[in-house]
Amino acid sequence: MIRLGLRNLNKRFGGVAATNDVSFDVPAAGVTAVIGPNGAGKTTLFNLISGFLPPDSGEIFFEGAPIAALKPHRRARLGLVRTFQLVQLFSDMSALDNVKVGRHTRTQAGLLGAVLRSPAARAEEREIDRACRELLDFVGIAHLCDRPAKVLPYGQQRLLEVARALAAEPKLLMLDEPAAGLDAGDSQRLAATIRKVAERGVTVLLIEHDMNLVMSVADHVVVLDFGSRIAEGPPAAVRSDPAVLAAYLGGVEIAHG
Amino acid sequence: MKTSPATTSERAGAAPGWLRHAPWLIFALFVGYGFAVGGYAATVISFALVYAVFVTGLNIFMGYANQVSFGHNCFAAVAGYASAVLTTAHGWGVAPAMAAGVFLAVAVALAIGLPTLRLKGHYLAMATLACGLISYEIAVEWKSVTQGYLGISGIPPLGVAGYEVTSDRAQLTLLAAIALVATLISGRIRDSRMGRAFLALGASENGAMALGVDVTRLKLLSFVVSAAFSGLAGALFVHVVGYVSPEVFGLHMVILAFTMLYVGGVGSIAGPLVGALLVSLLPEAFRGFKDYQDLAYGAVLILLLIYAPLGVASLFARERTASREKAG
Repeated sequence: MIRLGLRNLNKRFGGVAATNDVSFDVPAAGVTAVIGPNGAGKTTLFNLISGFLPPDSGEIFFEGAPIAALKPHRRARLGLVRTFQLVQLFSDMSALDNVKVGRHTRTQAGLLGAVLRSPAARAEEREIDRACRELLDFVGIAHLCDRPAKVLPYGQQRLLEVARALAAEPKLLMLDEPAAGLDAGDSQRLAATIRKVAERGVTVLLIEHDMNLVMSVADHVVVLDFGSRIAEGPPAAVRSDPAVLAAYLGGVEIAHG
Repeated sequence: MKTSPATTSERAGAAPGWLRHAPWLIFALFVGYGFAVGGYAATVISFALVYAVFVTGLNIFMGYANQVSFGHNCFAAVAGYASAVLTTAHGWGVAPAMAAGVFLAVAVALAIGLPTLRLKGHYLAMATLACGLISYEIAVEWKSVTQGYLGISGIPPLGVAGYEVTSDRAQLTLLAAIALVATLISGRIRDSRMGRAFLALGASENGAMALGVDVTRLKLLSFVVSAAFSGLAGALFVHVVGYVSPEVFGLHMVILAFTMLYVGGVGSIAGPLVGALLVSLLPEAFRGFKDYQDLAYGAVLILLLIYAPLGVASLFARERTASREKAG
């Protein structure tokens, strides 16, 4: 089963083709990684898929339905939820409240219910509270739930962002360089969490620089270079692909500094 | 000028438990004093409470959702004038006229919010400022309805179904209750699904959007809700004073409300109430300084903003974060 399909996606910035006729499928099961040297167009591709940038041409299919015209919040509602390379936490809110915002799109209570504290609104609040504490526990930071997000160490902020995204019940969880800036220990904890998420039946699509992380968690790897897809396959096969070796080692990386 | 929307500060951990109730203590003290003394003191505190309603609404838009508006006086003017005209020229009762005024303010907020909320930061500030100025000009020029600079006098006092609130003390009590309910509503909104979404979009629009929060719609919602509070304050004002003219809802209203919001604590629940009371009472406290009254008032404001940059309310932050950590 295919969760996400990209067909001939194009995005140019001035004269630069950040995404050049990219097509590939993301299978529903397991973890798919998009890798590539700096400037290969990974983040642009992520912004196109999540709706933060409009493509110049091409189509994006989520579970078979075209979504390229939808705004980001509509895609999230469908089950396509992303995190950011630079964490976008709500820094003054507690860790728990951050996760609670993730429940927004799966809950209903309006202003009137909140002001009147209607039984339905209160029941929903209790359910939100329970589910969010469970998620914080799932990523291993339940003990920090009352801390403001901004005081958490970087690695835990990353985990919090994952918990928050999971609260929105994604079918496809997109992680933008989740291991950036993490030390080896945090990176391993993150890898374990990503595997656990995938085992829950959530499709994971990640952009990653850290090859160790990619090799340990990915089932399927797509390689981008200069905005184009140059290789695709299981991690072991991709690692020995000549085109990939050329992109990573053949001076391109150095030329692009 | 952007201050963090939530009051969650690590300093809050230092505040002893009883301090959390300090805002309510200040409120009770001021209202109690006004009630005991009556007369001028009761009037000053009554006006402060009307402003508290206005600032509480402004705080939902500026504190929770972290947007900027220099134009909420427009909604106070719409509701105030509507209620004044309906009661004096059309024989409406005070309560239905005020309700109609608030309704109209909400409608105007929808009409203004739809196009302007696409703007951000300074641009939104300029657009809303323009709305406030336009509403002032309309109040001046639409003489057949507003009587221009002359204003409308003989507006009946607050009251419901034939019963009029005429004494200083009764009026003070009623306004205190209304300001309390407004604060309660604001608090309940903040601690709800919608309130969290307001805070979230105020902290990171992209982060909120990625989680499925319809940022455009919720910005408009926070704008409209805050406009309803502004409208209520405007309508209360005209019935408390018994008179309305364009100056009543001029730019000075915005400046005063901003001072109250930042002195009290932008983004906190009780901040607007505390700020409105303190800022209203400060000039009175310095009356003895005669010529130097404004100077002393200004100096105290500056000191407050230096030593309590998150507002007076932050000094005794009712911080669940802190208290819960202590509890376990």
